[in-house]
Amino acid sequence: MAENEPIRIHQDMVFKLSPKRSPSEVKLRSMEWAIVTQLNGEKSVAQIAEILALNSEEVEVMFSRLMAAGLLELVRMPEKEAFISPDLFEEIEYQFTFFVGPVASILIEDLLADLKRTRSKIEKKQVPLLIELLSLEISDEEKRHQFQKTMLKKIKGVGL
Amino acid sequence: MIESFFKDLTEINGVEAIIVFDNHKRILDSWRVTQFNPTIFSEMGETFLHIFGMMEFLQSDIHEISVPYDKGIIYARTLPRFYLVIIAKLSVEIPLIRLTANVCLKDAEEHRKYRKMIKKLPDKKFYQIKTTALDDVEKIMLENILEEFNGRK
Repeated sequence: MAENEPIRIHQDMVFKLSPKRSPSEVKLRSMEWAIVTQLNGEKSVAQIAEILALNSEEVEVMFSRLMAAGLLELVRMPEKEAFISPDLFEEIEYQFTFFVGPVASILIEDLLADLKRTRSKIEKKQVPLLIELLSLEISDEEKRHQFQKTMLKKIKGVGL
Repeated sequence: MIESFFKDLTEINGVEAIIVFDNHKRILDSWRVTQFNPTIFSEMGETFLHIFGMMEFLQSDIHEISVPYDKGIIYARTLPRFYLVIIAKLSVEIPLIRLTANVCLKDAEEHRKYRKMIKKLPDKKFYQIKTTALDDVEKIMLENILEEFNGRK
């Protein structure tokens, strides 16, 4: 990655405070200070967001600002295998189609768009949420349970 | 109870403790992988009974709460006759806990033993916080809140 290329903030990234610049040299908002206090080189962006109850847009904006201000040092990038395999995605789609019929692929596309993800770029950790949101589209309670149960078994099977 | 009906929850990597409370805030069962302060479970039980009791009174549709803290996250879910508290590492995704809990609870309902056990448990949370879980000052405060609430209706 080029030095000047902006880094897209990813939920699995881990940062620590950069020794090159002190936070006191920069004018920070209170929530940015709160983020700074959480940076320890161990907590991921997602974990900090959870603690501070930040949504994904706020995370993106605030971490990008801190990054641009030179206050962050990247400790860990997200793992390459953070994304689910095409096989698992196909299995989810297959099972979902079994319960809701041919409209399944449209519902999946809509949901992926809402989550700002694509079929090939969906993180493993997003799978339970994806399944939960898809299962809400199944109106029959018994079928919804069957879908959730089948998918939970799959998730466990691939070690998510 | 946990080993029989919520085993999948115990198998989630990062889940550190599960506690099941009845509506009298008594611990029905608990499971843990790490040591916790011995009083922490009962304190949590009381706190969540207060919250869920008020939600029951207000007929809220909210049946679960997740509270992040420095080292992890606490997920609590209320059901008519008991409530479940799960302590997990921050790395554990709440949707995974919720999905697993959904499956476990629905599967458990199929078991006669579970249904029989649940049937015996007290079914009101709000009544419990009003009568047993509050000290005198808190009871007076609650009465005042309720009077005001009823006045507004």
